[in-house]
Amino acid sequence: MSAVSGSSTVAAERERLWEVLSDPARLGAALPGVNDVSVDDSAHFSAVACPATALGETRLQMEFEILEERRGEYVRIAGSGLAGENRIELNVELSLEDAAGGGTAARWRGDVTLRGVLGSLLQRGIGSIFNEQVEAVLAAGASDGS
Amino acid sequence: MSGETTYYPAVEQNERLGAYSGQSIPRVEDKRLLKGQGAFVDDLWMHRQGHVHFVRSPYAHARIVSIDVARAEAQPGVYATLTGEEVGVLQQPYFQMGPEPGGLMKDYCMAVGKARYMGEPVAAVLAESAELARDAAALVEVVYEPLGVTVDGVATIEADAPVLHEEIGSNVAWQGVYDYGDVDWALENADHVVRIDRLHFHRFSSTPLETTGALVNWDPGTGVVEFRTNNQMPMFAAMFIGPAIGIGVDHMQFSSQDIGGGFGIKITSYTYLTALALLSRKAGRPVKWSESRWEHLAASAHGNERTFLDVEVPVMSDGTILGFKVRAFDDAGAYLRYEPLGAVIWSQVVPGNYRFKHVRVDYTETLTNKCPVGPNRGYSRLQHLWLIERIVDIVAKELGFDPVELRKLNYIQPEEFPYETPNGCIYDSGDYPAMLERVLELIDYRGARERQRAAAGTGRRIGIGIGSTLDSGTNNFGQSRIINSALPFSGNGEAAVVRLDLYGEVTVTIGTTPQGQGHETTAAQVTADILGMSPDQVHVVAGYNKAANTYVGFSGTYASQFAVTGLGAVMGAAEKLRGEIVKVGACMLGAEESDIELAGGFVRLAANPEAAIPFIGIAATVFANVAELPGELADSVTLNCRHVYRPPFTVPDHETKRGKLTLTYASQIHAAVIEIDEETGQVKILDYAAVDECGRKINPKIVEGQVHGATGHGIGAALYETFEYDADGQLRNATFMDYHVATALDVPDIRYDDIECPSPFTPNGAKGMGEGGGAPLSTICSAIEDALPDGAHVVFDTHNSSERVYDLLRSAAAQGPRGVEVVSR
Repeated sequence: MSAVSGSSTVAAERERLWEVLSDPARLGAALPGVNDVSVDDSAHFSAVACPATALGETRLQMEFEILEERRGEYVRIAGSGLAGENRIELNVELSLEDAAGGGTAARWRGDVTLRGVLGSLLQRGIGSIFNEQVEAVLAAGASDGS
Repeated sequence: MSGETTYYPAVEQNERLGAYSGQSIPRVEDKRLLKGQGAFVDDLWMHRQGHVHFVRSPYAHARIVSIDVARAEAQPGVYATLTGEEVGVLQQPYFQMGPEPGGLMKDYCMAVGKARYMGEPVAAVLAESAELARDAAALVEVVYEPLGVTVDGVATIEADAPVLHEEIGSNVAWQGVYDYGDVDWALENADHVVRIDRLHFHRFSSTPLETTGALVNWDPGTGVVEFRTNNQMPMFAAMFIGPAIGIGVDHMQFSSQDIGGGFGIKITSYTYLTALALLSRKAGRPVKWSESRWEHLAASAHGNERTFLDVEVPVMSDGTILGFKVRAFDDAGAYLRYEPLGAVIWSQVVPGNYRFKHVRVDYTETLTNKCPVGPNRGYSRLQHLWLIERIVDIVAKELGFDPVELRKLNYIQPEEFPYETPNGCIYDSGDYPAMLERVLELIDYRGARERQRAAAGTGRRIGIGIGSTLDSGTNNFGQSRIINSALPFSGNGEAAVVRLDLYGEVTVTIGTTPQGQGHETTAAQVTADILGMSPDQVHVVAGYNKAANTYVGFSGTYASQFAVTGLGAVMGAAEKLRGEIVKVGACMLGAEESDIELAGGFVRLAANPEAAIPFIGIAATVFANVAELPGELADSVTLNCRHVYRPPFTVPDHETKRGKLTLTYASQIHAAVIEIDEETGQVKILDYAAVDECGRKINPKIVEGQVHGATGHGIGAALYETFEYDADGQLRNATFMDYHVATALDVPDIRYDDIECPSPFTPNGAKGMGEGGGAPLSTICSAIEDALPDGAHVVFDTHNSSERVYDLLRSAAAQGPRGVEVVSR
């Protein structure tokens, strides 16, 4: 299991950013390498992602569940999925608050577990890959909401 | 020369060796290997062959709820699949070498019902290309139910640990107490007792250039299964595969040519060979598999990890160490593929290089959700010898003895050989004090001590370390009866054929599976000496081929024995051929056999060398002009001579755990000067020396090469190589990005020397060698211990990364428990 965490300040209002983050379709479009998002209900969605890594493209079939949500402030999501013979599980929470100088301050932290060959290959790099994904989403949200 | 002793029957040493044996002639094999003309498994090809990819468990412990191969099988180009469920029907569980409880284990070539380590095969896909097989494998849908995981080799015996094998009922596979001398008396009467809490020999492996692989064909017409594989002990593999899938050894054909390294871990590839055979039968075509590096690191075989608890060492005031007492927990991983043989093999070297008389080892073999272990360089003895060297260094430091003098005092002395150990093993020959003197000269021991003093206060700490090891070679497989009295194994042997062909060519076939040790070269050297010709006139057939009829039950290349068993067989066969050549030559020359000599490829009269017949004349007569020979002679010669070398072993005693477990004892003493950066804990090797003793050397340059390779491996293990599992049983470093194998940049120039103490127990005076990779583990630990400040924790692990060394440096200031206690009377 790898612990991931990060923070970023984006030039977008918190409400506008939240709208992107809470819309699976827009969220999927913002995630690098995600080519299919389907929404099951308000708390469940799935995605097929092929994030680029130094090892090439890895196809992930992911299922997500929103475990806890406070509109505009906080969301906690659990995800699990398959990548070939490998298994992925993640549990991540994201907090938003107004930044002192304007815009929105985002903080996130979570655990990512990779099982199988992918774990051996990516355990050390999963944190940076995960953070890149989150920052890309926030950047897209800022762009969409500006 | 007769080497009669009170320990073994007299051994006639071959007086004909000498012209070429003992010379560093260039290796015959290198010509093709350096030109890229070797034939390794992945170079092989069969008509209609398919390629295999194994689907492996991502979980360290999980019940397999279902496996759906439909999507994979629907792919164009996919020939067949094989699942664990099918294996459960097609295969009987492998024979287990251990008694109950471990003997109850049901082990198959793939996970049946549940997976017990990350990377365990759960299914296999056969397709027209390796890439297609891999892609189709990703479509195999496996539903797992994750189970609790146990990864600590000691804690796994606790009642609340998840049990891997329900049929065993716990995670204890074997347990036994080895008690020699009277350790209780020694502890009660010693002037000091040094107690060490915990020592840990870490998990690492070997990384041969060629990973495991095989091309297997189950011929539907003949029922013969052909295994072209780099398994290094094929007849041992046959013992497992045959009963498991219902084929006789007569229907198994093993062969190999070049093998790119083995180090022991290719012995247990029989599980993969079984799966490939079943897949070939199902698909009706040859199947080929080459292990990826990830597969090799995660799921081939690892070296044994061992934890030593509650070490107690009785020491007299003059420094005499009386012995020791310890609880050892050997972590076998998820299955007993070669185990529990390791539970007895360590006892080949009970006292190490020392005169310890009183030793008690309470040994427990445990099971965890990790890759199964297999023999790995210095198998099972490496761990025990490291423990002993740790004991010696810790005793020296705690009681204020000079580590050099303490070793000299306690070493077995040269005049004591042959030396009988407390458990009845016989060390054949050696001179450890002389080796120690020489290795200290090589590193300029006095100068190093001056450098150590001068470095004080500079932020860099100098340490000087010594490591003494033994390389016990030529196993007596009867030792397996110490762990299981019902096993039908004892002794050892190897076979070879030497023949004279029609045009006078001398051809040698051997039962071993060379992996870089130069067997073709050394076999040619001894044959040439015996037949009176040049080594380049001797053709040693490359590799192993069961069809050549040069095998016995334990044929193969492992356990430092080729120089004794392999060459013993070659020498015996060459002598038989020589006898036939002399007989025919004497008849043709009208002389007595005693008048004949062989030289330069001719049979000639010793008194009149002009009267000579070339070998072609002998061969042509026997093969094509046989009516010229008297009938009795024609009936008695074949010029095709097979010999089985058999060491003079008896069966060890199950009850007392005593016996002659090994024939020869090569030794290695290493020394190193290291420098530790106090800020980072980084270890830099400033100087390194190795002195080797392996009896009479057949080819000194090959010996030196083996010493270099083993030393590099040991340095890598001591500082870089370690398998790191997380609590979930995930191996975190199964690629060369994270599992760092020592390279030329990490291994210093090694100062090398040797001494020669011929073995009186072998026909050529040689001892097996090549497994001295344990010495660097002891040497580096010893040097780190020497460099640490007073009050630091003892060096407790074989693997010492910069982080661990940093912690050890800081432990002195922390003034916490040091892991050691001395009780003095």
